[in-house]
Amino acid sequence: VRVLLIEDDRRLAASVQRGLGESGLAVDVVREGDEGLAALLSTPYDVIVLDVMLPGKDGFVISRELRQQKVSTPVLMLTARDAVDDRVRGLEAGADDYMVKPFAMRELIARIRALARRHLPDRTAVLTAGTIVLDTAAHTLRVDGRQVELTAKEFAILDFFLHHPGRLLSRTQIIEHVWDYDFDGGHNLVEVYMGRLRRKLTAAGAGDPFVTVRGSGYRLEPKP
Amino acid sequence: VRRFLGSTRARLTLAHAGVLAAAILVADVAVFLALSRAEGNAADDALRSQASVIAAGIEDTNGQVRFGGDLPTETQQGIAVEAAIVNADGSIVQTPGQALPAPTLAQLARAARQQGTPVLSSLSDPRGVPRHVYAQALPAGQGTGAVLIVSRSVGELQAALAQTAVFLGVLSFLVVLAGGLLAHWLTGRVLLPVRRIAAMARSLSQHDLHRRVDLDVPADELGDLVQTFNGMLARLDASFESLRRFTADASHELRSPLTLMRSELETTMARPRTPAEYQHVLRGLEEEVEHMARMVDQLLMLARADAGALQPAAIRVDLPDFLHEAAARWRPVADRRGVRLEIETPEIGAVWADPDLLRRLIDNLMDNAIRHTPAEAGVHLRGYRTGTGWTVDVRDEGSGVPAAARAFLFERFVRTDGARARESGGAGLGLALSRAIARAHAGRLDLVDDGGPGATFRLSLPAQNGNITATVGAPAGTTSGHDLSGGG
Repeated sequence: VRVLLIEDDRRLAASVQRGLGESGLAVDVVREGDEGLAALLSTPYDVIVLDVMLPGKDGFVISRELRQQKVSTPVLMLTARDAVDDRVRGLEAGADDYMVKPFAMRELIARIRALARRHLPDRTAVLTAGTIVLDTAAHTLRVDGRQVELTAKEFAILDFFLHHPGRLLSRTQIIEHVWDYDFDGGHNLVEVYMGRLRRKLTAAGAGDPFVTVRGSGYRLEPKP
Repeated sequence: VRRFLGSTRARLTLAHAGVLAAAILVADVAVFLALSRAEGNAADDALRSQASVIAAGIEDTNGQVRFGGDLPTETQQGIAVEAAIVNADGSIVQTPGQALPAPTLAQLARAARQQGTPVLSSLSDPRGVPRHVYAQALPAGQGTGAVLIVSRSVGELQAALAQTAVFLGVLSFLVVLAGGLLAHWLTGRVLLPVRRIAAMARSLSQHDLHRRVDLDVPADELGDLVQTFNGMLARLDASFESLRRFTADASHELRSPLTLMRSELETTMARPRTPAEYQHVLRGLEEEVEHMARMVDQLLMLARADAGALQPAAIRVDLPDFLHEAAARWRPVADRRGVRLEIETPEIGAVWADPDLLRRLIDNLMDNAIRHTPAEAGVHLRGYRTGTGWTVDVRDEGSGVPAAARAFLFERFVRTDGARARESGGAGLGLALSRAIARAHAGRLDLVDDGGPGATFRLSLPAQNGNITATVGAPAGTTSGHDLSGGG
């Protein structure tokens, strides 16, 4: 995974570079935005780590320029300000994730990995499997035409399965897809959510569409 | 002048004197007009009655008019009135020393003859004395075309009126002056408490905010002002006091770990160490740094909450997701300590809230609960619907909160268990911050007494948060699962 770090604080940049490097990420450091844009044109990066407080163009401006130039590389913003406005501004400027200084190196690495792994989802608006109809645009699940209410994470998990029908999905894959990155306690969470989904789908009359593969994960096999 | 007018006292005095002067002026003018009119009428009445007295004594002899004897020179009341009779042929019978010259008399007679009715006029005689003149054509039986003219000087009358005017003027001026002085004195008296409050406020520094305005004023508007001001001082005093305490606590809490870190570093670097020793020291430093980072973070957030700048985003947060994720985050910690973690969530339900802030809040409560629960006992996380919105209970099976600590549990730098909290990483800011977050969401956070042995913290959130400010990104549950709000 190749990371471009745009950070003007030499000491922090060096420290982050070392931390990421030791975890097997290749990191290039530039000190300001235009330099960063130039680097992006010559080298394909998987993730951009962008500091908000930079001399000259700030992180918001750089992020916006990147998106205007159709650079779709995921951007993770770093900031010492965690005010809500900043978060919203960052996201509006096209950033994909946001971390507040001081951050834990482990979490930064995990989030960079998650961003690098991330691929844009299929834009198919309606996914079906048996009697299950998931409308990703309207954010609704219907079973036999009846609406079933799901939480955001339940929806994301079902969406993930419907994108890969019949394929075995491991707990780790599910965690990384739905919760961005693996964390302690995540496996238990997957079990909890599979249980909730099974209960809701069964109650709605779709039966249990999931098959548990012991020790490996789950597979979607809808009942006809 | 501008500076003078800048004072309320001067403006009030001037306004008062001005109104007084205007009222008195109107009264003066009215009095003077009425007086001069009455005086003029009286003078004219005297002329008329003298004319009728004289007319009664006039005889007609072959068309020649004559008066029996000399024409009188004064009325029965002793007013000097000169009389003259102008015959139709122009001959004039008159009182001796007549002030009006013959041509004037002839002219007046002509006017009265033409008019047919008596003519009253005022004019000045050749010596410049103002006179009122009454000219009356005599009836046909008393000569033909003869006119009786009587006149009197009104000089003294006018002089008297002028004197009266001067007197009125001087008197009025004195009254206005006295009124102005009175107003000046009164406003001064009324404004005295205000000036004293101002003087006191000027003299106050942050060190004597305990002082109060001690003025004996009735319970009127001014009494109200004094009370309001004292109330404000009391609040200011309290907030300075809490700021002082807070600063003292904060500097202690921040300096202690720094001192520790510095001494660790100095000692360690004093001579070469084994890698194991370095690792041990670095691990210790890491803990300190984490502790400090957490505290700085909490302090900054509390400061923002104090300034009213803690404005949570309004993002849809699914309560089951939120609670399950919180439980998942804390399960490893609970497992290590042998604490059972039990969770109960609704099937569906969402609040509009700031997920990051809410996460801090629930993490604080979970951290506390697990820390205060002995091994084999349980921590219960429960979310459920209540009439006004959603409620989340975090209940532990620990020893509970001592009664003495309940009152100030949500204050800053509070530790119910002394030094032990420091060991486990708390700085006594967590609950204060949690409550600030709950309030910023129009909700509340309380310690509730549910009869159990442990402590139960109850977070209540309105179902629809009133202050929806922004919605970030896609609605909850993006297909990529990559919303900043939720994940691990």
